[in-house]
Amino acid sequence: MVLRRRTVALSMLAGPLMMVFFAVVVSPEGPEGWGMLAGISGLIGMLLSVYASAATVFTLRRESGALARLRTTELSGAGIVAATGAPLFVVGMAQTLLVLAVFVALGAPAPAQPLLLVVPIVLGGAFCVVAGALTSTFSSGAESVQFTVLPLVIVASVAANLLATGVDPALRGALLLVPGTPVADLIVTAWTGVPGPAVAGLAPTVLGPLLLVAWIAIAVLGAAARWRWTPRG
Amino acid sequence: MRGRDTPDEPVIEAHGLEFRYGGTVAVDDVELVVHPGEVFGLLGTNGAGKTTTLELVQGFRRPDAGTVRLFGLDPVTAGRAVRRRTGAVLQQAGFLAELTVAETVRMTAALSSRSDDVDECITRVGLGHRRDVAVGQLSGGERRRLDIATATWGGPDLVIMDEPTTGLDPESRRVLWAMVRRLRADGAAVVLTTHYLEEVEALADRLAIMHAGRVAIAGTLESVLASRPAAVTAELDAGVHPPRMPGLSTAAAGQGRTVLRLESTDLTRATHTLTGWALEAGVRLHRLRATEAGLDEVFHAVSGSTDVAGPTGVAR
Repeated sequence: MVLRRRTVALSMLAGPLMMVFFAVVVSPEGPEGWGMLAGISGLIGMLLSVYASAATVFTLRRESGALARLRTTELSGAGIVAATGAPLFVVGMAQTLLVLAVFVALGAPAPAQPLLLVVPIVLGGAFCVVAGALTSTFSSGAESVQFTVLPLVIVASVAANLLATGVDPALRGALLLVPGTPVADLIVTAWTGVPGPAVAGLAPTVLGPLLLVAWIAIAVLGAAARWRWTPRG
Repeated sequence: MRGRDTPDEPVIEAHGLEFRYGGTVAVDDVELVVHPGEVFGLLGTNGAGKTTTLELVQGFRRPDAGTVRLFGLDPVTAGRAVRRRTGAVLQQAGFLAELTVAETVRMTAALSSRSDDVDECITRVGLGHRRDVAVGQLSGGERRRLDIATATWGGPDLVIMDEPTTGLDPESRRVLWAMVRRLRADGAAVVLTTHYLEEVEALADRLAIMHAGRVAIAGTLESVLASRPAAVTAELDAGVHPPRMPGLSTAAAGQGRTVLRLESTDLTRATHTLTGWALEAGVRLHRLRATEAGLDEVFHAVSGSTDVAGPTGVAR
């Protein structure tokens, strides 16, 4: 259903295609190079495909009255939001896994800790959906949502790039606090098998999931506080 | 779904409802009681508080004061239980444009514990030939019919319709009126807000007129009409002096004639009084007319006045 809306379908395709294009152009070498590319492109792909799409879908459904209509059904409020976000989450996870698989097909070494990849992909996808729901509460229509998603996409992408290229521990701690960046850090760790430096005594494999869960909780609370079922009057 | 409640048990029972948007009072001390098998018309100008009242009734907003019960339950805390028995037609249909008519009804079915037949449901509202057409391709009237089809899926005990016929073509309006009558015949309660007074006259068993957030007047059509004075009018020839009687007003007409207008809540007595005077005085009354107040007169009198509520302001 989500994919029948052309703009949403295109935005969901744009991220993965861009990542594959980057991989071909950059053609990194060794586990570190590919890990860095996988981390950055995994996060940016999720932001473009899942976060931006979720913000767009929630905004359009609110503006069109679809959310208000669903509210007259037997679904609970949380159920409506979950049912709207679930397809984006599933497609986003599938896309990320597909892109990473394409990287391997292009010559990347296989991830050193493939199971660890599940954590950033699942938590990152969930974060992108709830953050999209929150962002939609600041958006009044299809035009405005193109701008309201930009701050997180830009800040998180820049932070993930800096993080992946290696920075001093103090800055690393600050960058990991940027919403979504632990996704990139965890993918790099899973790919290379070499965790980055600990922050505040916590290993990246512990700190990253904790930060993502915290951002998910913050986004859920924010969305619940600001949520509207109908367009602003 | 019907038949679980005793016939006298109200479907909707709201007392002292109040709701504010910031500092603006949207709903003020509204009383509303609707019974099974009843069509209740809710009238009012834009901003009178009709839609907010319906949102409070459905549990979409928590009242600042007062209580609401749907089927004896609090619709805010028992939302799922009341929506299991309720259908709604919203001002904005809110369908997903990319789904077909049949897919839309199937989605309604998937989200409802009531059971019905998809094709029958579509055919009931005259959309059988459009079942595989995307909702985005439907006309406004067809979309509204689909709205009615989904709202009445599985025969709910209560259907709430917020301005369902605004902008509808006559055929779609006819379909909606027929659906409302069928729902009533099946024992469902229907609450209908509308700007069309003739719709309320044609469909509603009882009605309420809201103004400035309050129920200004409520009751059966007859009782509401009786709240405004009926009028007997006639014209007197030039040179004839009008009588002196309470409630009589005069105005000049053409050819030196005088227009008499005698207002009273008792039209029979007023007609008798005026014609009795004319017979006794040997005066001929021209263009004699006795007219009941119309709903439009009541509506304009209520929506233009600040004197609201009072003993008639209880929508029981």
